[in-house]
Amino acid sequence: MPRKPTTRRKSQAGATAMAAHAPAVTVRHYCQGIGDCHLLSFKKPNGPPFRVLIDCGVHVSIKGGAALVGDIVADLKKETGGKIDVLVVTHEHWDHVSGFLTSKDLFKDFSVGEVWMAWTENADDPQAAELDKFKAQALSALQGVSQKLEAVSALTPYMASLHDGLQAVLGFQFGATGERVRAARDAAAKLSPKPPLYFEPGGPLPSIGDLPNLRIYVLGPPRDKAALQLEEKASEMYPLASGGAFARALKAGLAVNETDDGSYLDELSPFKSGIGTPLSVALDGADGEKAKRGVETFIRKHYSGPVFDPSSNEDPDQSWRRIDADWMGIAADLALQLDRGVNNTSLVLAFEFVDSGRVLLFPGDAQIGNWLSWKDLKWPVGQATVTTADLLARTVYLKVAHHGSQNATPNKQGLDLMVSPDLSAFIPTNKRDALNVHWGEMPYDAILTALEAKTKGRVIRADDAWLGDANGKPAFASSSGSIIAVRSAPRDPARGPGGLWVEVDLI
Amino acid sequence: MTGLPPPTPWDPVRSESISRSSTSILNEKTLLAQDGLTPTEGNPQFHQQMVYAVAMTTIGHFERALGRRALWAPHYPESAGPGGDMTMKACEVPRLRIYPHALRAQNAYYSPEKKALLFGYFPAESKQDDVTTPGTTVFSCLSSDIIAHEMSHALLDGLHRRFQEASNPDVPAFHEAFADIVALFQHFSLKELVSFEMAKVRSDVSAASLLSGIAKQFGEGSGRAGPLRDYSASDLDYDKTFEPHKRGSILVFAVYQAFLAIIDRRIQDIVRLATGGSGVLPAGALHPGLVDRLTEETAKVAQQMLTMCIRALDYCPSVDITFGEYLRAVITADIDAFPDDPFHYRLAFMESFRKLKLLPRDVRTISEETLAWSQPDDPSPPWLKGLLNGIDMGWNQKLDRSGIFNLNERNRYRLWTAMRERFASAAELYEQFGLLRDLPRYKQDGTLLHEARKGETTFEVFNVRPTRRVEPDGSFRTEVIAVIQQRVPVGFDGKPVLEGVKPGDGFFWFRGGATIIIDPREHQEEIRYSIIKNTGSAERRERQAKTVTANYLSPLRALYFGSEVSEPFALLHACHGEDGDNA
Repeated sequence: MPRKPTTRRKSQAGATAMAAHAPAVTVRHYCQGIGDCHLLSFKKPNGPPFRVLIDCGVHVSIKGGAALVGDIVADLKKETGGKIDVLVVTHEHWDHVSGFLTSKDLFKDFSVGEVWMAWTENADDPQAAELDKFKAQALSALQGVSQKLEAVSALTPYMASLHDGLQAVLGFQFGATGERVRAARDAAAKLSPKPPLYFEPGGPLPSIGDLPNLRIYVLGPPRDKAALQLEEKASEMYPLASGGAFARALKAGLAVNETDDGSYLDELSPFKSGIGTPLSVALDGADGEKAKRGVETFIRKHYSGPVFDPSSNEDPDQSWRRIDADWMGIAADLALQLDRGVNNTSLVLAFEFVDSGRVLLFPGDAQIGNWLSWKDLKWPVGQATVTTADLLARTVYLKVAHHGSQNATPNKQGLDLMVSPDLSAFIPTNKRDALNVHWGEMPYDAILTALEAKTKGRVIRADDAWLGDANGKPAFASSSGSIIAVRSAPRDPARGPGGLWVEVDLI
Repeated sequence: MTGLPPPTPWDPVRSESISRSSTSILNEKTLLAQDGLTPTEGNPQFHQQMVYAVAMTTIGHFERALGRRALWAPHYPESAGPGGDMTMKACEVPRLRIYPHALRAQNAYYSPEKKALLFGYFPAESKQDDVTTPGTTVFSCLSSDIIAHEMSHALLDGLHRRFQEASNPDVPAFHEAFADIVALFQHFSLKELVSFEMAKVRSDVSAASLLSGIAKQFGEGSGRAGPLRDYSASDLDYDKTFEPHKRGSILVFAVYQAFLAIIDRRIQDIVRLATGGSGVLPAGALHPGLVDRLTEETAKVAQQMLTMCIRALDYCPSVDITFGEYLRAVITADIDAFPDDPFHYRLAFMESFRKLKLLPRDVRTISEETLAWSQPDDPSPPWLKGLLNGIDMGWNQKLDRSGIFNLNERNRYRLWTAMRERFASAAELYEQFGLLRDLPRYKQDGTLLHEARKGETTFEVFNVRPTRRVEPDGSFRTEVIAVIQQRVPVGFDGKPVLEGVKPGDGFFWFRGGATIIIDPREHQEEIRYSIIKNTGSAERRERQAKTVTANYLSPLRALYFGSEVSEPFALLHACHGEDGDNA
């Protein structure tokens, strides 16, 4: 049995009493909704607080999102004087990094000490480079499909849902005017004169000289490809760099469709070339080749035209049965794979206070694969060993991953292990915005219910109504559990109703 | 008539039709005379022939087991009926469409939206099996197991359209499991395959060991994960497994265990003869004669199991099925067909379902009597007299599929009219049929169409179908199965919205009603069984609300692509619970 770290001896009651006047950290969450931006201010023995900024972005589908993020960056400037000691970029998704690009003029005046990223963003890391190629291939295939679907005038319900889903997933990759998420991430990296520091579980822990009472653990992203959930089944044949089987199939299919002269060498063709009649030829009958006449007639009778020889109760229209676009259905699989994979590259940090043993958990948008990979992590601390279960058991504050969606907060390997009676949580989400873009349940009801029970109601959501009111107060007693004070500020009314930020003093 | 056109030779990915010349080549007399094309992977026409042949075999199994023609699920064109109800008129779908080369993916599926089977092709992976060269194309349309599986989805959908609705975790799992069961037994009834694998067996002549090779082959050959997996052991727990494939594989495993038990019983005497009573075989290969006899028995039992499992479909509730109810259906159907059960087939089913905890929840003791559907207390109530008078089952007519479809539609309407009269004069009947009184009529989007007329309720006759079978004494028996249903919009919180939802609000349909099996002989009409799914059941309603919001298959997909999918089987075959916590 691992021994507990010697540092965690102080009784909880003692810690609470002592810290009642002195918060260990103040966390300001910005309330843009589907997007993350969190400012952590740690008290230093002397001098101004130590500032850690985690992400700054909003999902592209949020109307007026860029302007709102502009307000956020301005507030950051006001609050910190433009001095950020550590900037953490959890992962490369628009809703986490857009601000570094859309508000780059405001960020220009910031001085950033260090930029922390996950190993997956390190161009010199061979595994990360492979991952990167996959992302590029997958994206270009998805864009191709998306464009092709745009061109279809009347989509079947199946294709319409495919189109909507692709828009949602691509919205994590691009800005409103097509800016690439990569540009935003790189803009963040350039904010510090020093090159970014890359972290991974099992690697050296990040340390902050000014804060001897703080220990930071890295839980994710995992190195294991299976844990990143990027692969469909155990595919040995195709390295990720080729984009995987889905991207390969889609790209070849799109290319075949685009070339008219048959010059494209379709390596995935099921039969040798020369077997077959192009659909366009079969449909308009332009090709005079007599030998193929039979095919044309067959296609018109049984595929494209009105029903041939209909029975008395049959719908004479048979267009609803055509499957022209259905082969693109695998784009959904690819989109999910990409989205899940990138979310799983989230840098997951646990901040532990050495004296009290209390932990704040910031999992980025880590999904199931990332969470499950933490299980066997161990860190030697002094004479003892700290495990993930220890950290989760001592977690008193949780930033909920992926805007509270169902797939990003597991029960067994997550919430169930967070047993501290002081647990409180923040969810960067906005249900109305999610509904507007026809997403399913975000936040997911069962997670809300579980969190509500675990935290005894100490859950703050970015879309809580009271945040929009200058004198608004949360429903829970603002000094309870790990929260000893709550402050908030409403948005500029020009940005619509709602809060700009909510700030909690934590112990 | 076949009910199927020759599979279409068109490849939509390449937007071209795959065919050298005239597509009618498969029907050419010279070709037919030599039993069709010889197997060649490079010839697309052979693919068509293969799909067609296996598909027709599966249809044949269904039609023989059910004693009637199989019909495809009807199509409801988007045209407003009287009062704005969009689903009034059912249009016949005379033919299923089969596309042997529809997708570039390791997937194949039945599309309920298009009434079509779409098969994929993909480049082989080196590790998958050593026989296939890496990079060569693998065609899912050349796997008879996959074809049988997809065909079973289509045939099951034709009979039980409501099984598309995941009203409890068993329903999607049942769809998968049933398709696998049919494919499995269709596979085991191929004698050449069975004897080839059996001949490899040494010393152990239990059914489990004799068939392990072929079962394994079946699992691997399907080319995808899911219930066609490892049949040597199953450590899945029904109470904790919700992902549809895994849950379905528990049902397949239960049926497979019953199959093994039955074979063991049937080959006892052969094994005793072969081993001189010791039960221990001499070292070395099995005697070819012994292999023949064992193969014979296996193929025979496989065929019987296939019939048994398909025939049970007529005895299933038409909504919200559970594995336990399927067991009830299997047992009841088999008692009807074979009152005498010398080889204890039914016992084998009960045993294996019991071991895997799949029994219906309300069963206290396990026996044929407690598991079979019960007959109502009064099997000949006064309202039954003459109920079927206007119903013409076409017993004595030679009808093609369209004729049968038209007849069914007429019968539905006649029975509805007759039931409505009877309900109006005896309102207590509503409860007997599991129906709610005074239920309004709703539009397709869940909003109110109109209130029920005073003293009446809204219900539909979902289905009226005949069955025919030969009794053990050689006599001919006919029965009529009638399905009466109604639907209530329910919010995601599990509360029924009887007044209709507001336009645009989220809801799901909650269905209930009765499936009654009637002996229609004039003047001695009798209700043989009635299977009730109460529309008023709060427990069922809450279970459905929980299932609808749980996204057992893929929460991430539900988030972006919606939890109501238009191609449920494409999805089912493509994901395997990657995002679930219960994986």
